[in-house]
Amino acid sequence: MIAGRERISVLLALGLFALVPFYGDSFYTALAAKMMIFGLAALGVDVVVGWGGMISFGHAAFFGLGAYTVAVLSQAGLGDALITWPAAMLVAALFAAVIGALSLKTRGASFIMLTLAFAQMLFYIVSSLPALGSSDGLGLAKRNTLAGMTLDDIRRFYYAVLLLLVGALALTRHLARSPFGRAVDGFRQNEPRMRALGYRADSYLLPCFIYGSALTGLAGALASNQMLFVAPDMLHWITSGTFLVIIVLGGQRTLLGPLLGAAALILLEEVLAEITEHWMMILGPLLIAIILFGSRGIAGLLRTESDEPTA
Amino acid sequence: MRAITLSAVLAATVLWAAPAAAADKIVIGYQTTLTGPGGIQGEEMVNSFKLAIEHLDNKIGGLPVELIVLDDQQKPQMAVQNARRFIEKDKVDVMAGLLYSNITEAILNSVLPSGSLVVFAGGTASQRAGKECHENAIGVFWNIDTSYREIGTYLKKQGVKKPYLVALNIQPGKDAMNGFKLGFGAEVAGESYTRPDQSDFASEITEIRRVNPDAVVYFIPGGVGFAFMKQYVQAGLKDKLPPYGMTVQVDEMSFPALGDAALGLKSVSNWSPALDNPSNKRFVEGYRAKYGRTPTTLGAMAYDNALLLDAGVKAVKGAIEDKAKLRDALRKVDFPSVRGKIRIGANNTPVQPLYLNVVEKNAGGALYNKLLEQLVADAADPHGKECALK
Amino acid sequence: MTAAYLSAQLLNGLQLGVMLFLLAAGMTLIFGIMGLINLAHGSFYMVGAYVAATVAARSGSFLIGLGAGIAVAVVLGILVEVTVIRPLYRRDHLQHVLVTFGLILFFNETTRVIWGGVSPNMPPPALLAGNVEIMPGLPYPAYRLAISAVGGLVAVGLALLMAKTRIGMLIRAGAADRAMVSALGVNIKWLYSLIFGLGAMLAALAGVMAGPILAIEVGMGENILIQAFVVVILGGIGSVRGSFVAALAVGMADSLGRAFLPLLLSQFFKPTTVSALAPAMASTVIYVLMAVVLLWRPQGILVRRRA
Repeated sequence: MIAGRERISVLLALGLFALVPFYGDSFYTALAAKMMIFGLAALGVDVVVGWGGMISFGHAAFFGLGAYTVAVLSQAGLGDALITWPAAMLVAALFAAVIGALSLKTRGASFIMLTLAFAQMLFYIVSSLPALGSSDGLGLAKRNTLAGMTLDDIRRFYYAVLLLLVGALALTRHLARSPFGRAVDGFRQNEPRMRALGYRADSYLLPCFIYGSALTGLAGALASNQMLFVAPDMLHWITSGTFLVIIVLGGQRTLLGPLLGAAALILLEEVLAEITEHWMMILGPLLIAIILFGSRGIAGLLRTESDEPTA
Repeated sequence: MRAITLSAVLAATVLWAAPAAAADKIVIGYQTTLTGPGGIQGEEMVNSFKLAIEHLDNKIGGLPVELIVLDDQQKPQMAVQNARRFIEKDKVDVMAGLLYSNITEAILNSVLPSGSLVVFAGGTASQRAGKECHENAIGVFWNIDTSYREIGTYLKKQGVKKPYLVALNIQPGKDAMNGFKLGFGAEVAGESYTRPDQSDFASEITEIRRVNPDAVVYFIPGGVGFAFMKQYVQAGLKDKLPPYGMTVQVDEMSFPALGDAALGLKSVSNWSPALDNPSNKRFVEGYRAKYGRTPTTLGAMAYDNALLLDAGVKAVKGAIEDKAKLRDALRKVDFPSVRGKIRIGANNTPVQPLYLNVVEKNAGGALYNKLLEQLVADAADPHGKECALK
Repeated sequence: MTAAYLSAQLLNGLQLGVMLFLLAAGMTLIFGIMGLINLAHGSFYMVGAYVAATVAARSGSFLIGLGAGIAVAVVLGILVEVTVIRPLYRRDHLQHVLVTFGLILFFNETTRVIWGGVSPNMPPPALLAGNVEIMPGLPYPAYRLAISAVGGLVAVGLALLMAKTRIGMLIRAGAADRAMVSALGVNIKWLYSLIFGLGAMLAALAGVMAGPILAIEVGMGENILIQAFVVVILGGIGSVRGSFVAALAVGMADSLGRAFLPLLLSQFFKPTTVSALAPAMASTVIYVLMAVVLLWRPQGILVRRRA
């Protein structure tokens, strides 16, 4: 359930993001865009992991597929976002349909490992196919246009990302409140009961998996547009792990969680890397402490303490 | 959120206060890999680059230096983000460094369109020296294709008939083997490409035994390369079938991992600590004094990176705001390389001598690469003719 | 030559499988009994190798190095279990994945700080440095044979431990029904620490054994970890015997795939296509194997018998 208070913090956070290009120079705008893109990718993961209860350890595959779709289309001369971004979602969704259908034959740890195995398979295939640039990856000559309009200016691109993020959040909120979303929630909480009530997992969990993966695929398409480069490490299991870190850091099953988690992780990396080159020695224990002692995530903290609205 | 906006405002204020990139100093954005398995190599690059600046009285071309060093974490995405930061936040005059070829590719792809100047010491994909060459991307590195082409020519001369090739299944691995075939000019007995995270090579070594070649050529850098070499030596093949590769796979950084397994290995390099020229003496002695060991080729490339910048900036008399003029100077200028006589070719890739080395023990029992012979005086990249630059 | 070649490739597969088994055995016990997904298992493999290489170099004895590597890993394992892992048992899989992911970051970076970026050397014991002619025309490194032998011994030892000792009985009982063992008055906390220490010991043993043939480097644990996970899942969670079979299957599939896929493909395709396709296909062999087995038999190759 999404509390009214949470709606306020969502709007506040998005409002703050909308202001960044006015105050930050292009570097900070780009950094904030990266936060939103990773937030969107993690939102897709949260849909699957948080709402659906399916712990996917292979979402990097969909992120990478989305990114590579844009790169390949761009090399083929197709550079409009109205074609390439939906195409990226479609490719991610198609792969998700296959991987999801197979992986959903299992649950629990086996599901985690199957999604990981499929993602690693794709990682190896992508990193050895010469047509996809092998291990070197592919460059994009330029950013996609949006209905003919150039997105080369980082601010314009930034607002396109923001709009998509808002759209994805709204759609996800709508779906979560629909009978479909409630059924998915039911599966997470008690699958045998849902089955006993006559719900079929294939009609709920699989579409949920596909939807979440398509969102992550869209984020991949945006990431390739921002960096103008795609590389196999986008599909690596470490990337999947990073998405999981983000949703737990931000708080699962909260709309804002993925965005906050992404912002926190990216900031943390920036700040820690300034302090010492051995910043992973700090990040590791920090991560452990956050999970052991504060498992509700940042959004969870906001929810309990936000009698006066702070974001 | 507050942290971003706050520092953004601060940064903006600072930028408005100072006139952008005045020629009273030169701002260099140096990026390499400082964490993960490649971290130690990046560290040597930074050390050598700084040593060069020290030897130049803390100036590049007479201008005081502001050096900003960032870690790419061996991730292309991070590298591009860093490069953006160099351009948009730090307003660097030139970018330098770079280690892994896939990262160099990512950076060049993203910064060249905006007119930035990159003078780099690390590897690139072969097409960068050919049809994708760019006037603003100048390499002072070794060249994988060229090095392996010379191994091919050398083995051909030695009467080798059927060599076997083993390489990592990454772009540089393929470039290396294509380079070899170019120099060797005949059929090879077999080849296998291994995945980058594979550390057991028993299967490939058994295959080599089956094929029974008369030479083995390998390109497997880094940790997996150590694993390959240890297993190859344990299989008793080293003496019967000496493997040939680039010196970066058997140098001071590899000796601790390989131990005596490295003894007798022959390799090709574009530099040797034994080269007799003033720049090299200063570099090698300075590095030994400061870091207690002999530097490697990577350090030499980083040192040269600074020497080239110095010569280029001197040539334009410190007027670095005119990027085109600076770039043209960097492409043409004669600089006192630690490699002796080298020049930047028309395709922005060095034309340089290549050497054959062998690992031996010195009087104190320590491993070192002994310079055997110069294979070629002016090796140019084979892809140069596809480059449109003049 | 072909018989010798095939035998050699089979031996390669066996040896790779045995290495995987040493890692997977501990993981499957920890997974099966404590319900814990431990991504940081590979860290003990790495720590064991580093400590052993350092001690072996100082003392000049491979065996002293081996002992030191294992001892340090066991102590470290129990320490980690008591401080970080214990609060996790009641949490979900996702939190296991993340906490142990954090442990990986910490161990990797700490190792880099302590040992620097240089990869230490660890030569095999002089006795095992050469090659053995196991059949005419087939010399094989003695050290690799020794790895297979040690792995086999460990497998037998584990089987005896599980079948004949009180601890083994508790472990089996714990795998079958945690609550019941605890209700019977067994100190389950102590049992868990013990199992975790045992897992760390086996991982360190694998790491030390790998020292002379692989590069001892930061991150060495993660490369083999994913493969070991495949083994655990294939063998059936909690089943040591299943892990043994699965480890050999994965080792064979990986080695033979790398050896024979290029030969097979070259019957159908041009050499350039083969050199592009074969490595990609060979890398995915074990994942395809895992996907097929899991879909066919989600509970693992050997279904655990429940008496």
